[in-house]
Amino acid sequence: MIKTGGEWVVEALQAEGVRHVFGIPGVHNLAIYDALLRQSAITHVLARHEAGAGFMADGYARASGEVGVIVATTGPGATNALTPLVESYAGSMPVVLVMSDVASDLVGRDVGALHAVPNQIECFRPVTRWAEAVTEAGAIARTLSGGFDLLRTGRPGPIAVSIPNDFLFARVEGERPAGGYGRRPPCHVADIAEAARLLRAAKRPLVLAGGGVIAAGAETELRALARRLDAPVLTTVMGRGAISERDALWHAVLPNRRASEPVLKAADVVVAIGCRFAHRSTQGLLLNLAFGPGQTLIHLDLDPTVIGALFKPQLSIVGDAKDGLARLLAELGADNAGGSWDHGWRSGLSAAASPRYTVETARLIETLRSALPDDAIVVNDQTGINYWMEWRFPVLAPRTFLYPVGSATLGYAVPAAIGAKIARPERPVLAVAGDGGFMYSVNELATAVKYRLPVVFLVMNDERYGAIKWLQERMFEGGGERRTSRIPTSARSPERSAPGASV
Amino acid sequence: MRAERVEKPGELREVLAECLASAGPSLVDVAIDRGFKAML
Repeated sequence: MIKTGGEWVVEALQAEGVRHVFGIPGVHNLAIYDALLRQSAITHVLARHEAGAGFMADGYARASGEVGVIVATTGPGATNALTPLVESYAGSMPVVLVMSDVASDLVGRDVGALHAVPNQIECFRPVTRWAEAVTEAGAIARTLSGGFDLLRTGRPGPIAVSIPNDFLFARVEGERPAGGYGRRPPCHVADIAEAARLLRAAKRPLVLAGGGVIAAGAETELRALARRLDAPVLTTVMGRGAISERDALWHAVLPNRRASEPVLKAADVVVAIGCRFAHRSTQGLLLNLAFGPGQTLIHLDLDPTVIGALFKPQLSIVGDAKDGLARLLAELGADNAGGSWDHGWRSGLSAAASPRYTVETARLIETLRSALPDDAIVVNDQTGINYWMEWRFPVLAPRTFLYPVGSATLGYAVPAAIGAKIARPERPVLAVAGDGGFMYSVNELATAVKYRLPVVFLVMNDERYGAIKWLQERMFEGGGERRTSRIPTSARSPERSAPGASV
Repeated sequence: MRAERVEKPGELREVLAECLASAGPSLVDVAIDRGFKAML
């Protein structure tokens, strides 16, 4: 059949089961928008800035596990999406950016074409798993399908596909791609057998669960392994929700040094699943993680490049977390492993807190938790209160605590909450931002209004970049620019149910 | 859109409940003590 390049984009997205795309039309990508308008399988969400579209796609992916898709136009439109891709890359989120480019005969030539970024695709290579420039119109659908295959096969992350605008407008012959190819590799049976041998001999086994457990949908297997071993579970920030933090075997979030360090030191065998021991959470800022000579580290991850990057394991296992955990459970059998943890001692560690964690902060977090059902989605920006939320807000279900821990960007919460609400409309969604980060993405409130999305945007407002202020005072005796101005929300009316109007 | 400002800690729970029950987006502007202690 013959279709325009824009129609082939939409055909490929439909074939992959895409239900929503986030973007902004521009003169170069209008053929995609024309195709989107003439179908109903995919709903387009119009953002107010491509950075907003990118964070929406990330929030959508994080809340649902589905691929978040961004459609952007050439040059500035495309590069506006770069910062969200930094977070999606760090967080291993499945996001696909489809962007137009200058016409094919102008790609790579710095001749002043409209919107041109010479060699646009090169901007995206450092923050994507795969960045590809389409070089013939007939390759559009299969290139996009290849990107989705990668997301299903390996460690998720952003895919960027750049398509010259003349290819999008051209009519070309092709066949609709089948879609849905690709599966994650299983773990090697010999590695699993060795892991089981090490864990059977362990006296104090410890499970460390990262975001890869959630990406694999392996929460049930994780809980079963912890029960089988009677092992406490630490999660990384990205792994929060892999096990309910009301579960007796959940211990702490990894960077919480006071709670996690004694347990890490006491463990004789640590099995890390779907985590990459990110430097930010393990090396000095919050926790100075090290394994002693008497400890055994088993590291299971889909991505062989993260294994051993910071900590050399005694046993590395490459493969899908769900497959690996299921095989490990089968290999271990039903016999009790005979662990000897003092769970009373361990649970006492969880309450340990810094003197900077005040009663008022604890009360605020308790108020937020108690206001929300267990499956509500909380979307955090990078702000003072959320450094505490990172460890202290109880996370009770997977994909319910969204936090840009990888990039620590401001401006995440408002658009990511919109994406999360579109992905999971049945769940309450609460965004928590500081006044600084809120104003980075305040324009996307208009998107929430346009689509009548019942998201609550909570702005913790100290009228300054408060966390930076404290660092300025501590490091530089108070110097520096940090004050912001009051956000012009309406004052509360005497009948507080009256709506405000001046947002 | 609905907008609220909270200046006393005791007000937050009720405001949140109202906003979570709202049919559209809500903004809650929470006054934070400038002496708030961030973790870092």
